[in-house]
Amino acid sequence: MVPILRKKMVEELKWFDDDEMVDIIAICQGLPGVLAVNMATFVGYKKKKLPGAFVATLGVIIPSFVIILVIARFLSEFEENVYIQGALGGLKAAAAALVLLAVWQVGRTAVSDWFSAVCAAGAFVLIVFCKISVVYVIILFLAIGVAKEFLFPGRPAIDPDAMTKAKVPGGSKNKEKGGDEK
Amino acid sequence: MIYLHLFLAFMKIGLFGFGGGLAIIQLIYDSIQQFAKITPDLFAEIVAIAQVTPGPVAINTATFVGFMSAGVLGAAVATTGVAVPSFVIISMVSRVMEKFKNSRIIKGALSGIRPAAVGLIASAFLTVSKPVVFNDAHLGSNFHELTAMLPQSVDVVSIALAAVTMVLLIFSKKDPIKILVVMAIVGAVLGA
Repeated sequence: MVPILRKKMVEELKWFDDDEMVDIIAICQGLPGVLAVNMATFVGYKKKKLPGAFVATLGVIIPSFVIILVIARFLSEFEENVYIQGALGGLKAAAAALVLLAVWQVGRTAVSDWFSAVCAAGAFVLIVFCKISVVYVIILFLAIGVAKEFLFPGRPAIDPDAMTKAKVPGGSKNKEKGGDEK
Repeated sequence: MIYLHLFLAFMKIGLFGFGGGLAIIQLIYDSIQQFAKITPDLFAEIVAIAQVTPGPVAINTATFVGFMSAGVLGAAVATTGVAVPSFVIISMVSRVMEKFKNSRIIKGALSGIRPAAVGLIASAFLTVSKPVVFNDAHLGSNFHELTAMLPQSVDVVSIALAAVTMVLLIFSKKDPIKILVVMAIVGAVLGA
């Protein structure tokens, strides 16, 4: 999604230059919410204020919305079908593997020192073993990050180099793999 | 009032959804437990479909969960809910972009939530892999003479498919989406 947006905004429409785009991606990744929605809203707002943000957000959501509704309707017709259920079973198994791969891929860029390793392991333990609500876990680690920044100031969190390396799970993973090997 | 529940839950998800699509998955699962009748198995299916469908995984999941809980209006409410916080926050932040970029609070908060997202995705993996291991309808029903010989406590065929997928994801240069679609076709042939 991000590479597509960048190509459209920078190369085709020339609404932003590359530096502006890097800033926009960095900021949208730092804000809560779905990255593609954040970026659409941001770009829309930059161009045409609130109405622009509104139509851009709507535009990025509607295709997903329609496609999923069609699929969900279709699947509810075939609840008893062995082949459809088999396909869902195969997809479920494969998707679980993809999520596991994402743990490794995101972990490789996000975990770099003892602090980040403790955060990653801590979040997992709190959710899985202590059954703490995910929202509280997120708030806790936002707070821990802020506390650490003021007690032990470190390197910048919004790092343009990390942006190009960081991958959105579910996105084009092969490109990243290819890039690493070169 | 299912629509209000859905809207508020997904607004919360939009507001606290840090760390990318797959980290948000665990937040969604956690937030809808109270009121939506979505079994772990159905949730795993929803996430799987959301991953092979175009569009952001979190939006796809929101629409799907909304539809399964309360029909088309439920889907609309859930999807709107997850986008509203983004809309409000971005509209405010894009005016003070420079200030935001240099804020130590934001910088610190991100340094905590980035690695924590790895833990979130790892817990999402457990959430979606449990229904694979302990599948209600084991894969391979079209070949039940053969699969009858396998242990029945876990779904051996599903676990094998996941393992093969993992190997393909790591060692082949193919698009992950294509690999997932191939596995769905294999699953259809095996039956469930």
